[in-house]
Amino acid sequence: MQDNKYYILRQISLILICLLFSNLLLADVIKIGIAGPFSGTYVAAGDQQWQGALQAVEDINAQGGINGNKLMLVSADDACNTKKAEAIAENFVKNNEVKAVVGHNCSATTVAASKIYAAANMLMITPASTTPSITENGFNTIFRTCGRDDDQAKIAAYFMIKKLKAKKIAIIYDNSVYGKSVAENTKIALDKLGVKVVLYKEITHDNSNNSALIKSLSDIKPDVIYFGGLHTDAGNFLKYLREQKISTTFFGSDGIASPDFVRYAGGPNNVKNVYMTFFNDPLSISEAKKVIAKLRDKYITPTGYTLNSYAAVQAIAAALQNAPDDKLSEWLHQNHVDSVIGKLQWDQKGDLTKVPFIVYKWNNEGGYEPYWTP
Amino acid sequence: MHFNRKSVICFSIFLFIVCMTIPILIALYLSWIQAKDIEYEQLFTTAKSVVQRSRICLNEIYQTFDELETYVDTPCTRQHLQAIQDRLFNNRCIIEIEYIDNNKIKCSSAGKAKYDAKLSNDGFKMPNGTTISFDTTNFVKQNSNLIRFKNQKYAISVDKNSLTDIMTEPYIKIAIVTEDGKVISTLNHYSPNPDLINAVLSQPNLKETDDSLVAVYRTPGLYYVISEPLSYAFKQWHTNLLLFLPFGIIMSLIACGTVLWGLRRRLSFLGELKIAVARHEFIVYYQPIIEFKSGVCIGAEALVRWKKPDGTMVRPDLFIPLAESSGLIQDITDQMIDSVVANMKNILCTDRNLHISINVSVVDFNSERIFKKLETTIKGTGIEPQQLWLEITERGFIDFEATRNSLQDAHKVGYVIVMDDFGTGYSSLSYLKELPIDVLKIDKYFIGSLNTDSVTSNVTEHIINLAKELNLKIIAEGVETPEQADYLKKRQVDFAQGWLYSKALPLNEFIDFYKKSRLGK
Repeated sequence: MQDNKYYILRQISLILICLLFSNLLLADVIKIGIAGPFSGTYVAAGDQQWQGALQAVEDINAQGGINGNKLMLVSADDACNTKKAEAIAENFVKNNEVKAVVGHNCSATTVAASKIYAAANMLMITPASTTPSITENGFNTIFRTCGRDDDQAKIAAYFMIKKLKAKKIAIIYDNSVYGKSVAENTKIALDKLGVKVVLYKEITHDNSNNSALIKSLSDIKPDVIYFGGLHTDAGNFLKYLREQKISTTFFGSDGIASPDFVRYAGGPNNVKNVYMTFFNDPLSISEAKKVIAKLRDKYITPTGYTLNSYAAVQAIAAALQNAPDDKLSEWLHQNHVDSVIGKLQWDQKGDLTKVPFIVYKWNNEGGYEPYWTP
Repeated sequence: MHFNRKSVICFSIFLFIVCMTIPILIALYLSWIQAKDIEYEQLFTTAKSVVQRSRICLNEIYQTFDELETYVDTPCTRQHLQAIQDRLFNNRCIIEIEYIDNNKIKCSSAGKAKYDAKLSNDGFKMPNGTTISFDTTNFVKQNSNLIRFKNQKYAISVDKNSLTDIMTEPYIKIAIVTEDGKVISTLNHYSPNPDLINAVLSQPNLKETDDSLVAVYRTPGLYYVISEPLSYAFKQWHTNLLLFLPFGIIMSLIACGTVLWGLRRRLSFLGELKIAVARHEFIVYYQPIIEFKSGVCIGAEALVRWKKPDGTMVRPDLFIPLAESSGLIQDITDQMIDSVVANMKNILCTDRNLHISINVSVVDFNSERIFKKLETTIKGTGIEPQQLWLEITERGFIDFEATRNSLQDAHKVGYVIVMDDFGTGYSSLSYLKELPIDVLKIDKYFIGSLNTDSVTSNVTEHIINLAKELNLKIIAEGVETPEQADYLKKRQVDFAQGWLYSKALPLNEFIDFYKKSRLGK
């Protein structure tokens, strides 16, 4: 009985595979580049980007691809290294087959690579880089499906002053392009709201020169410590703070939205009650539910920028569907895309016209929940 | 949907089988789904640990490449070899490092090589540009457990097994496969099944094959394929069944019990009667009552008939005793009153001499319930209370006081009280004196014995005389022959009913009968 059942299943799947291959033989493959940290320290961010894009390609291909042609991801690992990112960009540009790029992920690599893509008129959509300068260079082919640091800085500043009633705020940042950008924008936003930053300091990866910092923190006793940087350094620093018995409220940016943050911070107990600005809760977007269910079926939790990456592929697919290969960017500037994170529309710079950053709070189970919507 | 007995039984047997099997099937199915969930959870968790584990090694390799890249002095000097040795010493996954130039090995951490032999360019290119080579010829260490990662300047050998070196159950099989189908590293596999690998490559979301459960986790360039034999899912299933099956059995027992209960209810006579009450299956027949003096129909006794949905009629003597003992009689009486009022409203209002007599059950005339029912039902219809005759029987005189009180009330309102079946029970003359009785009905048993030699024949005459004495009107019930009619007429009995005049008639026929009788006058 069971053998029989499986026999039929096998027959059906054989036929399906045959159909799939016959389809592949007839149809062309459209290559999309995906570049991000797929190894190294920031691999967690790369994972989000890759899983989201992979799911999007799978779903688009399951619905017939682009005019019958299947999408294919060409992945390139920049390990958050600008030199590698530049090499990858050169490669994608030279390779005539790659139509557009989902990436890069770290702000530094995106800044470096975007110049090369823009010069070659190649469409690049970053799902995760929030540094404002990326879209401030007048490039026509550079887009994002995430927000900007100055946007989240404004929300963070407002929240810290009005909601947390903070009078003294310290800003600490790591030495990444992203971390500096977030810190600087938050400082500007706080200044505008008339609250002076009591401490503004960069930290090193290994916490080596941090004892002086800890001392000044315990002298100043700020109401909130704002951290600009990625989950690795943020986690390490938070762990160090808590070990030094400094329990000041910790506020992070979108760069900590990863389960790895919990790992680096030394467990859920340390990240509990940490605030963070991050993109709108995908679970509140009805379009996202199906995709989230599909990812859950593969035991993948769509944390961080997973769905922004999915949306980036959708945007590229929509452009490929509706415009010739050399006019993809123009099309995206002029049209909107219905994506998994809602309806997306870009301004002339390539920034989203609506950036729904909200404030999240980490819980004691190592997850985060929406806390405040501006 | 009405079924006869046979089809009810057939349907119940079908329902019984369904109720027995469905909950058990559901239990089997749910426990299988849950078993698979548990196994998948384990497989995907394992997949993630393998990904973590392999990344530790891959990061060592990539970092070593990056660090050696910065070495710019003359290669293959002692310092260069020392730098290479340092990396080897500090990284646990790495077995051997070779410096290559123009695809030829120049020097190595492991001593002499077949220098100047050309290395193969074949292999799988990872997303960061590193090539994974499976061609082990021309390397210094010859070991089938090694694979080589290669860039332009260096080749790094690692132990295959270190990429999948995690703690796991021995039946969970792990393979790391490149996008082009080459197996890099395995755990618990003697040799990975090529069919499985091919199936995964063509269907990356594969979760089940003929003989195993599969979890696939993809990272750029690599597939992590974790599988376990289906038999372990079956084992988990059996464990789950211990929990689910008793629940399923209980559910099916409950369901079967419900069917049995319903069946009994449906098939028992009482059950049928209850359903009949609920469905209003009772109709009223009218047996005309004739006034001897004028020969005209002056009323009718309302008799209940049970008309089954299939059209058959059930005789009242078959179900009334059961209805009385089960208390259903009250509902039946109520329905009857409703019907009588609805049917007869017009005709009763046009002919004030016409009456309908209604049998009030034993249960009812001990309480005032029936009178309230009557009152509310005839309210506003124009029917006068004296047009309704209430027939009571002495069999029900359990609480004589209560009966007397309620009858007196009813009598005051104007209802005519008829004593039914007089003489059949423990007739007590005191009843006739103390209760507000207007009419005495002589049972058909006495009427049947008229003009015979039996003793009762004489009794009838005494009853008639008694009634006259007490100034009660008399109805003779069950008059079947003209002789009986003559006899009764002679003794100035007032009314008669019986087959001699008419049997009990359905509504329309009764109205016809009534109209003809009036015309005959």
